[in-house]
Amino acid sequence: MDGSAQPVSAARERDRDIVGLLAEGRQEPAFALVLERYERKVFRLCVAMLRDPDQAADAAQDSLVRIWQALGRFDARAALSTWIYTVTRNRCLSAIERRRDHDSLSDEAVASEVEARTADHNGVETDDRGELLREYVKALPERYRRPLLLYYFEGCAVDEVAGMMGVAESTVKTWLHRARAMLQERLAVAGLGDPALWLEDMA
Amino acid sequence: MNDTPHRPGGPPPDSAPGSARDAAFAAALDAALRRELQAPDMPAGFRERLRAAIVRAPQLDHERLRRELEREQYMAMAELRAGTVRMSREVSVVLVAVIFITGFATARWLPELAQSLDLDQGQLAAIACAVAAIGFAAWVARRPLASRVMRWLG
Repeated sequence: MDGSAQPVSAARERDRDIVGLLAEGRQEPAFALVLERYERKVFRLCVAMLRDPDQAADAAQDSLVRIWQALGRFDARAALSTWIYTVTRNRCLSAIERRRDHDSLSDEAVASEVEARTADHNGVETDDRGELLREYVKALPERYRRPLLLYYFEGCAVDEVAGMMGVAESTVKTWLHRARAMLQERLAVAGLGDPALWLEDMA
Repeated sequence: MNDTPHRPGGPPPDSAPGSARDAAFAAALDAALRRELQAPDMPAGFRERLRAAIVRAPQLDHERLRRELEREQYMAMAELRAGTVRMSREVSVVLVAVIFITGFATARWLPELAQSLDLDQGQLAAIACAVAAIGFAAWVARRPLASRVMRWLG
């Protein structure tokens, strides 16, 4: 965890007020601060892990209920954010396990679906190009797609993404690099490798 | 050259003259991703549903949690034991098969081998025993597997 020491101590510092409230036994105001600070991040992490917004909302709710239940016993051995993200990731992994039997959309299946959707992209409108890019992102392998989504969700903060995923910053940087390289390669193969196509206003 | 300031985790800056187009593509893609991958909005009514779920949620029962963990651990141990028994059976089948094949091969080819190598059967048997001893020693050196088998035999 070479690169994560600094952000962890910064996160500890940021959440000192919450830990202080918990030490005084004031769980409700502490949880209100947790919601204020982490509700969106928990939901974004769930969206990145689960793909489906409805399932992500359920998992986020489930995670926050679990955090509420256990908050009174948080012993501050780890940073509060680390603990919150760990609880959330575990809930998402359980949700993934539960749906595996029902919804076994593998990376390959998503990729072939994207290939079918993007087979004829000549003359696409600018709005469609944005949609196309999102489809290509969706087709990335999970370990690259998740950090890429979180990176842009969190305003390009690598340390925040590393904390959310529970890995070192250097690992996130490597994943991001590979995700972009993969996207560039696939877009180039699809004849969309001209920078001008992506620089212009697509909205 | 790429004028975009390099951000941590962002696309690498243009370092080689030949990669100017690649760098431009990377920067353009980064900009496009920033436009397209917007953080999702919280679902409507999320906070209200969460409050309701918290009210409904039971308090954590530590005793029940401990019992569940113990039960899970017991099941994991039972599975491990079942795996060990299964492995013991497989090893015994392999051992019996090896012994049978060795016996059959000895009975079938030993006289011919002794004749062609101009050795008597005693000398050949000694060589075979030496080879078997070396093989057994090499196998025993793989201690985890050997110890499991020995425990099973013992």
